Amino acid sequence: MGKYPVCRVGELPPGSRKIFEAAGRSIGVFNVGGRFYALRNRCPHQGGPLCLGRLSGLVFAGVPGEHGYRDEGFILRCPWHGWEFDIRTGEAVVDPEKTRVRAYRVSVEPPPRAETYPVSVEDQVVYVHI
Amino acid sequence: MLKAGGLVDCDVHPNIKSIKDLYPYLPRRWVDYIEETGFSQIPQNPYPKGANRGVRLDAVPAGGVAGSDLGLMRAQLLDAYGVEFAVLNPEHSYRLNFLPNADFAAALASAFNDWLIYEWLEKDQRLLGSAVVATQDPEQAVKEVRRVGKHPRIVQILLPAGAQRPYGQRYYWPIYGAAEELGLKIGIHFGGTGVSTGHPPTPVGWPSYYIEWHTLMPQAFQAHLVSFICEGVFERFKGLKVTLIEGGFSWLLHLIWRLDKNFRSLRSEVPWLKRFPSEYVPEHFRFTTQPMEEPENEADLLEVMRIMGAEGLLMFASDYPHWDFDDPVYALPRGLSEGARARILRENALAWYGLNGQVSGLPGR
Repeated sequence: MGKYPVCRVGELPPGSRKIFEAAGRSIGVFNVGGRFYALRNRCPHQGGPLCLGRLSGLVFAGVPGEHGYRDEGFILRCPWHGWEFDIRTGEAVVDPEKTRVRAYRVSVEPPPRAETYPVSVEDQVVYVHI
Repeated sequence: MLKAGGLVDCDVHPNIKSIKDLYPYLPRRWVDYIEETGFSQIPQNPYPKGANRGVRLDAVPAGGVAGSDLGLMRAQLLDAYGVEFAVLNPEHSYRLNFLPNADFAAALASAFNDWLIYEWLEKDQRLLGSAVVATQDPEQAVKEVRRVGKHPRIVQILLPAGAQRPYGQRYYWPIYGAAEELGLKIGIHFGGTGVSTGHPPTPVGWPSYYIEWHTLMPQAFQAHLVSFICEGVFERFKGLKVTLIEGGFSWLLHLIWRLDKNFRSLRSEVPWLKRFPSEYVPEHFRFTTQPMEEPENEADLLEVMRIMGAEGLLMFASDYPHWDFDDPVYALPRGLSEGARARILRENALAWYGLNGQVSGLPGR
């Protein structure tokens, strides 16, 4: 498991997504309400560009005629055949145990930087304080 | 992108950006009519399409309409998969059969056909076309078959699966006579059920949902196949060949078993049949693959395909740019032999449409 930089947080505001290449794969990163999720950009069905699909909620019903709606923004529908996946897990809505797309962990970290030390100048001499 | 190569795609949909695209090909009277009435589109069924507005979202050109851009079609289909030939079935066109005005429908049919020839077929050598006819007036339909049917890359006459009456009936025979004479196939394409002046989409009325409408489409194909055979169309027009496009195929087994069984008891009703009904199928029908049947266990499908002789009957179709597009690299079952794969992806269509393709590589998985 490698760690790949994607972009700065400010470049991926809530409601946006970014598709990038890493380790030879196309991967989509989504910001939903300030949290980040990443999925392989390839539908397990026929290989469609899954992460170009529309994000919606989960329509559910306990009984016929009910039209519940939840998990808004978390259900990704493939732009080819409309298969539904939960971007939090990569699992397909209709058969989560059998059909899934690879989901990746996303972290937000300060950019890597070299270690710095205080420096002072005394009597024309530069001192480093370790 | 994986390359398929050596491929004939039997169902691709070019589309007009708006009805105005047909103006250059319409008599002035009908342009005026469209402008005066505000007519904007060929009638559709009343079911909103369940997924992605009916198209592959990545096939919609910027600010445009899916299927309206030859450049994008080349990039996403023709070049991407090494398509040798693609049979174009213009979006919307075949539903003009459900316009009440027969003369307007006939004028639109001619316009669609000229648009197809000048804006598509003549711009890319790989493209073949289905010419639509308006069956409201068979006499005008025959004239249209004769008018455009001699174009070297018009290979088929296009009819919708939804119909006013089963396609085997004598009402349609003049059209078949002209098609047979010119060596054109009859292509019956998914759609046109539950539209405007037509019948409800099923024999039990109107289902509630698009998923039902789409799933039950094979009923229309079954009705036509049985009608073609029982009416004796193939005894009258021995060279007539019918392509069933986007209607599924595994239902064929039940249908011909039942039909052959009934023939033993009820033959005297249709005494013109010289063979068992099922025996007309291999000579006179081909079925396109998309939307591919995808059972949980692929071996089940392979078994059905073996029993029905699918490797001689099926022809690959992608249905680009629709939402239920099939990718030629993934659509066919993995366990299919290389020979069967080659026949379904290419050779059956080359033979059916009388094309002389060059042998080239076939797709792997």
